[in-house]
Amino acid sequence: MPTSFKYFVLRSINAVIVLFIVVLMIAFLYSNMADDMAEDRIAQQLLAFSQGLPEELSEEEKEAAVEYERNRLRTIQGLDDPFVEKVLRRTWNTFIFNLGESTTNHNYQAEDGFVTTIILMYLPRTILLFTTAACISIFVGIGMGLKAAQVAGTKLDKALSIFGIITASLPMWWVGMLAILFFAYQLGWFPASSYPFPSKEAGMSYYTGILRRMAMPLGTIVFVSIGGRAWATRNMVTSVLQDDYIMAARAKGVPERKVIYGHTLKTAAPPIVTSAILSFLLSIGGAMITEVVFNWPGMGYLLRTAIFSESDMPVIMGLVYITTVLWVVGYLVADLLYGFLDPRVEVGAEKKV
Amino acid sequence: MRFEDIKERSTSIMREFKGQRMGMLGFGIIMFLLIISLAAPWLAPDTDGLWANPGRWSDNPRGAAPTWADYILPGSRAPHDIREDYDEIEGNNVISYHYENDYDYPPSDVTIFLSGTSSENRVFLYIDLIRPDDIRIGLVNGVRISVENGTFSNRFSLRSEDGRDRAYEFGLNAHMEFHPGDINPPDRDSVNTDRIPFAKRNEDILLDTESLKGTYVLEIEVVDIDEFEDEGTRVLFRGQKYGLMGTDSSRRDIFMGWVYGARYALMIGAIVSLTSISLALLYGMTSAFYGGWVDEIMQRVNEILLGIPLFPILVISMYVHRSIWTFVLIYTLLGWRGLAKIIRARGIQIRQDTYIEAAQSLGSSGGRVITRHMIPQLLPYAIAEGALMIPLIVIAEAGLSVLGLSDPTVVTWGRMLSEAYGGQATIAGMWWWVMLPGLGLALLGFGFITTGMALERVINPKMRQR
Repeated sequence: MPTSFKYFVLRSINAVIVLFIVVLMIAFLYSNMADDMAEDRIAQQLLAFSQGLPEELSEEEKEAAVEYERNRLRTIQGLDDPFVEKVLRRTWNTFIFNLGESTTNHNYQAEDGFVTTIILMYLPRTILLFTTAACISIFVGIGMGLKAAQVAGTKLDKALSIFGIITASLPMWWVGMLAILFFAYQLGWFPASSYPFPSKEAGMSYYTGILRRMAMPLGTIVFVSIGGRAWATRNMVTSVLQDDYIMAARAKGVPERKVIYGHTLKTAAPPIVTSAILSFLLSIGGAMITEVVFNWPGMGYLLRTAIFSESDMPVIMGLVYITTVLWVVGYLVADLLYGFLDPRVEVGAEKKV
Repeated sequence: MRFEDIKERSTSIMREFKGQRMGMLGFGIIMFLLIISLAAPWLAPDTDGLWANPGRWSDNPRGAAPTWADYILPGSRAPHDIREDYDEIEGNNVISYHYENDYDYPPSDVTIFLSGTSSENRVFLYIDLIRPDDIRIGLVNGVRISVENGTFSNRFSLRSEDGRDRAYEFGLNAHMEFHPGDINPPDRDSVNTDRIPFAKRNEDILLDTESLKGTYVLEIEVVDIDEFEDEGTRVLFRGQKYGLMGTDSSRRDIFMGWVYGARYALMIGAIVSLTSISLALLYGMTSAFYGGWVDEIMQRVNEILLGIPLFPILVISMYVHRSIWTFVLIYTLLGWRGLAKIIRARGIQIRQDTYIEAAQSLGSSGGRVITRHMIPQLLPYAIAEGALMIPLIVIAEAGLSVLGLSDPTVVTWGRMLSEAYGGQATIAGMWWWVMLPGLGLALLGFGFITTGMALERVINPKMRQR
C-alpha cells in the first residue's frame, strides 16, 4: 500500500512540524518570565555563596569572588545569550523532554524533583479517568445516536436532541461541582474529594478506593459528553439517510436495520469516528479542570497546584507540553483513522468532515 | 450585493427566525443577559474593581443563603438587619436594641459599632445580651476605651475572639448543668459558638443548638460618656439570608458579582467571536476567490494551524500575563481557523455563480468582489457560527479561572466558581455560591446555542429536513 504509507509518513511529519511550532510559540511566550525566574534563583545562590566565603577575605576580594561566581552562573544558564538563541534552546530542550527540575517539590509527593518524574506520576491517573470516560461516552453515545437516527422525528429522538443541546452548553466541571453538592454533600454516597488518594500498599482496598473516587468524575464526564456525541452521530447518520442510494436500498426492500448498520454506516463511519476523537481531544481542557473540582490527582490537579500554591514554572511548562503532545498525537490518530476508514482520502485531497 | 438586498435578506431571515420557538427562547435569554449587563453599574454599584476589596463588603453577612431559600428549604432564616437607631435610651449612657428572633436560623453574628463623646480621657464599655429566658450574657464587662480629642469609637463582634469566649462560657455553663461530671466537654474551637447566644439552654447547647425564639435585648452601657454619636453608632444583626443570590464566605454579594459576570462574559464572547468570524470570512474568501497556488498555500497554513491545541497555549499565555485581554487576543488568533475552512468550501461554490463573473467582467477588483459580493452572501452563516462559538469562549475563560488563571481585576462567573471551589463551598453545602454563577454560564450557553442553531436552520433550509 504505497499511497497509504506515503499518507502516514506525510501526516506524521506534519504532526512533528505542528508540535515544533507550538513549542516554539510557547517558548517565545514564556522566555522572558523564565529569565526573570533564573535571575531570582541566581540572586539567591549568590547570597548563599557570599555568606559561605571565608572570613579572612577582604571586602574587595569577596566582591570579586561574587562577581566571578555571578558570571559563571549566568554563563551556565546562558542568560546573556541573544533572545532568539535562548528561545531556540528552550524550544529544543522542551521538544526532547528535557524539562528540568521543579522549583519546589515538597507538595507533589514524587520521588525526586525532575518534572518528568512528577508528571509521570500524575499522568496515568488522568489517562485512566479520561480514556475510560472516552470509551464509555464514544461507544454508548454513538449507539444512542444510531438509535435516535432510526426513530428520527419521534419524541425519543427530540428528547435526546434537547438533552444533547443542553449538556453540550454546560461546563463539565460545573456539573461536577453540582454532583459533589448532591451526591456527596446531600446524599453522602461518594467521597466529596479524592484526597487522600489510596496508596498501592493497601492491597484490595486500593482498587475499591480508586473506584469509589472515580465514580463521580467519570459519571460527570460521561454525562456531559454523551448527549452531544449521540446528537452529532444522529445528525451525520440522518444526513446520509437522505442520499439516493439509501432510498434505492429501501425501495428494494432492504430491512431498515441493515440500511442503517450496513449501508449508512459505511459512509457515515469515518466522520463519526474522527469527530468523536476530535471532540474528545477538545475536551481535554475541560476534563483537566474537572479533575481539579474532584481533587482527582491527575494532570489538571497538578496544574492547579503548580499555578496556585507554588507558581512552579517548569512543572507548568512540562504539563503544557505533555498536553500538546497528547493532542497532536490524538489528532494524528484521528487523521490516520479517517484515511484508513475512507480509502478515497489521499494526501492533499479535500476531506469533508 | 446592494444595501437593499442585504436589508431584504435580513428581514426575511428575521421573519423566519421568529417562527423558531427554541431560537426565540434562546434569543430572549440573550436579551435578558444583555439588559442585565448594560444595567450593571446601577444594579451593582461599587463592584467592578472592588471585588477583592474586603472593606467594600464588610457590612454583609458571611455565607448567607439567598432570600428565597426560605421558600424552597425547610426552616426560616434571620434576615439581614442593620440598625442605625437604638430603640431605647436610659439617661445618657445606656442604649438598647430589641431583636425579635422568630427564626429557626438565628442571626449569624451581631456586630456593634459605637462612637461617642466624653470629657474624660477614657470610658468603660459594658454590653449585655438579655435573652427571652431572662438570662443575661455579659458580652463586654467594663472594657476601658481611651478617648482622644473628646471622642471615642469601638467595634465589637460576637465572632471576635472575645465574643466567642463569652458565648462558649455561657454554653459550657449550661452544658455542665445538664451533664454534671462531664470531665471532657468539647473545647471552644470544636464548637460552633456563633449560634450559642441565640440557642435554647438545653443539654445539646454545645453541639446541636436549637434556636430560642422571642425578644432579645442588647443593652450597651458606656460609663462616663457624654453623648452617643448617631453617625458611628449602629448594630448589625447579620442575617442567614441576603439579597437575590446570597453571599460568599468573604461577605461578597453574589448577585452583584453575577451581574458583572454577565457583562464580562458577553463582552469577551462578543469581541472574540466577532473578530474570529471576520478573520475567518476574510481568510476563507480570499483563499476561495484567488484559488490556485494562493489557495493551496493558504490551506496548507490553515491545516498546520488547525493542529495547534488551544488549551495549552491559553494556559501558558494566561500564566505569563493574567488579563482578559491576553485571553481575548490568544483565543482570537486561534479561534478562526476551523470556520475559515468551512467558509472557503462554501466560497468556492459561490465563486462559480454567474453574478460574480458578471461583477468581475464589469471591472470590479478582487477585493471589491470579495467584500461586496461574496462576504455578504455568507455573513448570516458566519453570524450563526459566531453565536455557536460564544459559549465555548466563555466556558474556556471560566475554566482557566478555576485553574487559577483569572484576571485579578475583573469579576467573572468563572472566578466566582474558582473562589467557591477554593472556599470549599461544595463540601460546606453552600449551594447558592456554586449553582448561581454556573447557572449564568449554562443560561448563556443555552441561549447562544439555540439561537445559533435556529439561525443555521433558517439560513440553510436543507438542514430543516433533518
